[in-house]
Amino acid sequence: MKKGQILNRESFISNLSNILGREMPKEVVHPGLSSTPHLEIYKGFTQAQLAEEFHKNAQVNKAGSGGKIDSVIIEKKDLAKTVAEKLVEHGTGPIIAWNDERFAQWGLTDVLKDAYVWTDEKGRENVDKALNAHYGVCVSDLSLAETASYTVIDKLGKGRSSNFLPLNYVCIVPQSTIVPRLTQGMQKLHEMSKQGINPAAINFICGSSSSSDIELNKVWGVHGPIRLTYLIVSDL
Amino acid sequence: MGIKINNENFKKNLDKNLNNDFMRAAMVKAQDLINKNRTNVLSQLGDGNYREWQKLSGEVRAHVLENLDFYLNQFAENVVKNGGNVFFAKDAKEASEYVTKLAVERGVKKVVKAKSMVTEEIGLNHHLIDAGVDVKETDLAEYILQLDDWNPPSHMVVPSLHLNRTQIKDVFAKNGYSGKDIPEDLAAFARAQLRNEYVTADMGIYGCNFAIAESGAISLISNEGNIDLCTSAPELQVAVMGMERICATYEDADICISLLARNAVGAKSTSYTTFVNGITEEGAADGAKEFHVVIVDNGRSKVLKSQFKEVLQCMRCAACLNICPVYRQVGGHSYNAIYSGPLGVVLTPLLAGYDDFKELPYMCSLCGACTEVCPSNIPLHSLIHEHKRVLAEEKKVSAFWGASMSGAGMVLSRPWMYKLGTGVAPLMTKPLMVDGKIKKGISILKGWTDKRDLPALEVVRFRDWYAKRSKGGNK
Repeated sequence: MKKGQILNRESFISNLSNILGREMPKEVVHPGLSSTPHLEIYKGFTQAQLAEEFHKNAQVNKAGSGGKIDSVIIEKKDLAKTVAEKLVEHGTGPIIAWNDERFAQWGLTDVLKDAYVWTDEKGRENVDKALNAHYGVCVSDLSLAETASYTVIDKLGKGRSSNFLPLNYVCIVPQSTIVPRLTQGMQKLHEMSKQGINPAAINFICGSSSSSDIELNKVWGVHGPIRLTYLIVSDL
Repeated sequence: MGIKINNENFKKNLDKNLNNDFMRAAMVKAQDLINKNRTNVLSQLGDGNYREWQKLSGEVRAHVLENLDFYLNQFAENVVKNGGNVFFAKDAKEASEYVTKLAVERGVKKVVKAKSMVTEEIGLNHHLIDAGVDVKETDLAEYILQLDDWNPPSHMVVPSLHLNRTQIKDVFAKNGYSGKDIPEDLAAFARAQLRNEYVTADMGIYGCNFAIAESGAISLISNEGNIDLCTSAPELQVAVMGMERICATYEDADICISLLARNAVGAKSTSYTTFVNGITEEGAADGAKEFHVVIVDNGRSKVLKSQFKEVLQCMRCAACLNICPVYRQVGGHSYNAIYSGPLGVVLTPLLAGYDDFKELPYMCSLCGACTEVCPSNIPLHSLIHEHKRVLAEEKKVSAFWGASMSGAGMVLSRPWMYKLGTGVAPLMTKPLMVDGKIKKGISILKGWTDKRDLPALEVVRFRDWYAKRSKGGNK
């Protein structure tokens, strides 16, 4: 088939229109929501308060995961030292990081000097490096306080496999990226979409890979990262 | 597999499951644990007013159904703008054939697949396997069930709930596992087996929790992260969705997703909430280079036309299974279909017909607990009641049941017959009495006395005793 095809649309849609007893409308006015409880959560919170809530909820996740998830609030001046500590906390091994200029801006060049940097031009080698990585490092594009979620928005240099394959994960959460909840995340995606920007993937992540499929016993690291650490940076 | 999971007689299948002690205990444990977590986490949602969220979710889902043609068309247009392709499939056969043909034409040898109820419904795995494609289920439970010779799922969220750790160990042992029946070790074995599959597969297949009409995105919710891996490395990716799984906007999806994880697993969020928007940027080392969405009708349009259309608001969270007193006793396999619990009771006969599933509406006490918890505000117990009405009045599937109800109606609407009947009942049941109790009932009584004794009917009727008492007789 040709790229960008829609097959069987006419018969399928017209069947639905018949069932609905009218022609397909040219426009539908969304009635809006009859109430807005989702907008009330953490309403009016400052960035510092949202960071506290993010941290608090990450600590709840930590307790629920038997310590597999952790978070600390730090200042930018301590970022390099803390990243260095976290990249040996669960043993040593290969590191993979995004190709992201912010690492250099934040003084992480030296800490990440041995890391494999995702380089799209190298093709599948990136995926193999991610598969064998002991640590992955990323920066949250948007952070949700209510669920302690970080977000990665697909872009060249930020290979998807590097977000899901490493054994341990370190995520830098700039305080300025924290919003109350998924509601604001969805607002951002809505705005982007209105401008014609639809990234190939947007991942909201609030934990490490887990499953309760064996007698409802929670186990960690079924596929992707076993441990996840957030570094919430209060002055970024 | 398709919707029906076995060809056994319904009653025989039910009896077999009722004798599976582990499975029955697992259902109780699952219900208790998930409900405890669910109640806790819902109390923390905003100001804890779940009803308000439930109403909102019902509204956004109902709005989409009223305008389904428009939103599906908008969604399809946007998928194409994002570089993807859309195939509208009228039935299971069309959907499976499209995906299989795609795999064969592209020379696909291996598929990594994430858990998806609609791909179970259309029997996709076996189509692919028959075409010589190696299919790897990657959700831990589905992986276990695949290795167990495609054992059918018993729960929508925890499909392997009916298997204990020893049974899982034995299944893994046939595939090279030599450890003990420790969940962490078993999961580590699955991890070691599956991680390489993600990066060597030619094709990734996944379902869709909600499709976003305004952008063409597919949202995917999971704890394991296997779905994200299926969306990462394979260059050819296919999302399969039931046609009703649409949200008009991201804002609508926010309401639905906020309720989905809380109701499904009793958590504020699953570990991964993902939106996939077609093909990746030019030059990217991973992500989809070719993307297809298959939108499946398979009987849903008939449901949309019917008095049961609200069931299409369902988001497959399984909250209704987790609260249902019947599901608690009988387990998922007793419904003989991939959809179980109250949702299955409503949906299965609509998609697969009454002929094989006429018993399902009677697997309900009409207690209404499912309606109470449903995050999509579906009046499930009313729809089940409607099924019973259709079966009795329109399909007349049971001559005995119809005659019984007609007889009961006749007696209950004529006081002299009621008086006569209740007067002679103690005498009529006397031959069934053993040690002052009815232990072996016949006909409709048998269902009760198979499990417990029925107390003897009093010789003096209550209303006679009460009338006498009111006149100052025995108290």
